[in-house]
Amino acid sequence: MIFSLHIQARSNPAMLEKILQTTRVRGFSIRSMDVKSCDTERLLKIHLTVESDRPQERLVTQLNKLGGIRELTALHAVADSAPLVERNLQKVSLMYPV
Amino acid sequence: MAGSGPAFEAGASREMNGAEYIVRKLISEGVDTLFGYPGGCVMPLYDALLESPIRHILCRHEQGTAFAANGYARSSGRIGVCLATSGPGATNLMTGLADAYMDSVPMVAITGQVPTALIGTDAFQEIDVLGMSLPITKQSFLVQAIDELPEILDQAFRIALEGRPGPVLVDLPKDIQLATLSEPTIPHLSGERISNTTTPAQWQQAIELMNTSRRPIIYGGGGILLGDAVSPFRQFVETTGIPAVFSLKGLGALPGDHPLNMGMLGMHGSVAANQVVQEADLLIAVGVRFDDRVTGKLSRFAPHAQVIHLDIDPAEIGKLRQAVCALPGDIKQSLKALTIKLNLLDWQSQCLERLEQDGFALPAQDGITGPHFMRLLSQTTRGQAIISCDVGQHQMWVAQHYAFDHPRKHLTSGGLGAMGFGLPAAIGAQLANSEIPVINVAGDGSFMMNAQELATIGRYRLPTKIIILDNQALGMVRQQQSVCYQGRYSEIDLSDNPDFCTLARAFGIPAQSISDPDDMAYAINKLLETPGPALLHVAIATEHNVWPMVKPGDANDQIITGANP
Ligand SMILES: Cc1ncc(C[n+]2csc(CCOP(=O)(O)OP(=O)(O)O)c2C)c(N)n1
Ligand SMILES: [Mg+2]
Repeated sequence: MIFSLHIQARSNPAMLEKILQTTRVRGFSIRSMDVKSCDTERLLKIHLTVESDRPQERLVTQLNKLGGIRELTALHAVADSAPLVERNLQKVSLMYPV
Repeated sequence: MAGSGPAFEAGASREMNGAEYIVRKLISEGVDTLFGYPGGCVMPLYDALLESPIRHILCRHEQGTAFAANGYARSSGRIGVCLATSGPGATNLMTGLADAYMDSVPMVAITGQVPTALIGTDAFQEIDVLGMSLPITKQSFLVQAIDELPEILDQAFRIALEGRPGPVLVDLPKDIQLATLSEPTIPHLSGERISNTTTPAQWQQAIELMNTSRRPIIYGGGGILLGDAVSPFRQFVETTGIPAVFSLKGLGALPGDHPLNMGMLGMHGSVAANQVVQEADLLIAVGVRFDDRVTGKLSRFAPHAQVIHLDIDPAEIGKLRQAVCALPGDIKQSLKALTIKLNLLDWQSQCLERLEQDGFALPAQDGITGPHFMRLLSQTTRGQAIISCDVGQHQMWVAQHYAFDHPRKHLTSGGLGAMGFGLPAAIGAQLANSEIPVINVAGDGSFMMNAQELATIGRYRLPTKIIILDNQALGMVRQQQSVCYQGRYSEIDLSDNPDFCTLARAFGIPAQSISDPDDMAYAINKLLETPGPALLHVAIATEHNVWPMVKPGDANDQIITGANP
């Protein structure tokens, strides 16, 4: 299954590495990734498309736990070419406030 | 909290450097003991420590410092703090941090780093410690400017304890330790725990499942202790009357002799514990993560059971086994909400019968056996000592036969299974618990992985006791080669072990050796009565294996009991 995530994360040193590492270790391979840094808010805005035969929740719950994640929205697609359909919008509570 | 000298009064603010600030912060967090090893990039910190009231314990290897801090934390529930220099100092810490990460142990590790301007130049003793530590810490920080220091340290101490605990690393360039911090105020630790995210409707659903179940089993783990839930857990078991099995890290959550305590399940669990789980129609999973050492072949684990899963970490719920009822959040609150009276007399007596028939048995073998020894140690100490294990067969014999009166007394490297854990962890535990006997139960292989810490025990005259179960082999590996590789033994022989008693004496630690079962009681008593440190070397047969056993990849109902049960 292929799905996308919108992530807003604090631009700490190694934040991006931690997201990539979690994605890889939990069994998801990256199809595409777009990162913009927003200096005024010290934020990274990331759009990540991943593929795996593991359920999406496995990645979402793990990313959710990372310190510095401010918002995480999961989008879902059934196939490569299908349009992305918004599945669930979860505003992640701030575990580690900025 | 330790007393404080004039330069370290918490709350006072004056100009100071980063290193002095760190020491002040440690004091304000109540850190009384620090495990460390100095080097070039932490020189400013060591200088600042000289005048501080913090007790610094110099271990003899940074892995020793990390495991000692880890043992301090496990045995006290407080944050264990360790300190190392950049490069090799920091890399040596990693195993201890990985262990803390796997077993959710609150720790803060501070590592020196080369000065900011040299980062990225392959400077002397420069290693990307931040990058290295990412997968084995809850969070890692690199302090890039002195202004960031207060907030980062504050976060480090909060994150280590908050929610599901874990290790946090702070990498500190040398220039930051020397930079001036003007008018610092020390932020206060909030100490807030994550509030429960379960709703009353979910508790209601769980209660309905409990009311309709005929064969419920509780499967308890390390989360019971970590969630500070031992008392509500015991109340929950007492009131509901549901029999309970435990993972390695859940042992002690119920007293060993409690009639509803079915003991350990999984790879080296009892036949009885594994059987009742296979028969259960409801599994109440409390602070567990369905580790493969527990479940065996996952698809055949508890095949008839619906699962209620209580855990602080929502990512654990449904990770490996679907829960029909997910109760994320504070398990203490959930347990209280689920404490209802049930009538399970038939099921209880079936379970008790199983336990009598197929609980852990003592083998009929010559010489001293691990099970006999552990049972005697358990009886002699009444399950009240802190036992710090290493990894291998001896670790399983402790788990099977030592009846812990509280899970905090059982220090064991569960998730990582790191040989060499036991001795330094015992040092940390002893420093956190001067009143309680602390015993390191080691294997001959594991002991040699951090044997240098005998020097630490000797130096501080810690009353820690060491028991080496010496089978002259990497016994657990040998056992797997025996069971799964047709007895093709490869690199497991340790028959050229040193004389452990001579080794101990070289560090000023008295030692004795036994091999006759008739000497066990006397030797254990003598060991415990010896003031200060002491070592007991116990010679056991190489051939003795841990039974029962579920082969890796097999289902738990394929458990084998061995030729000599
Ligand atoms: C650091 C580390 N290296 C290797 C292993 C693999 N391993 C698991 S148990 C074991 C043997 C342990 O031998 P010993 O300490 O003598 O205990 P015994 O099984 O003989 O009781 C080994 C090598 C490990 N768990 N940890
Ligand atoms: Mg051995």
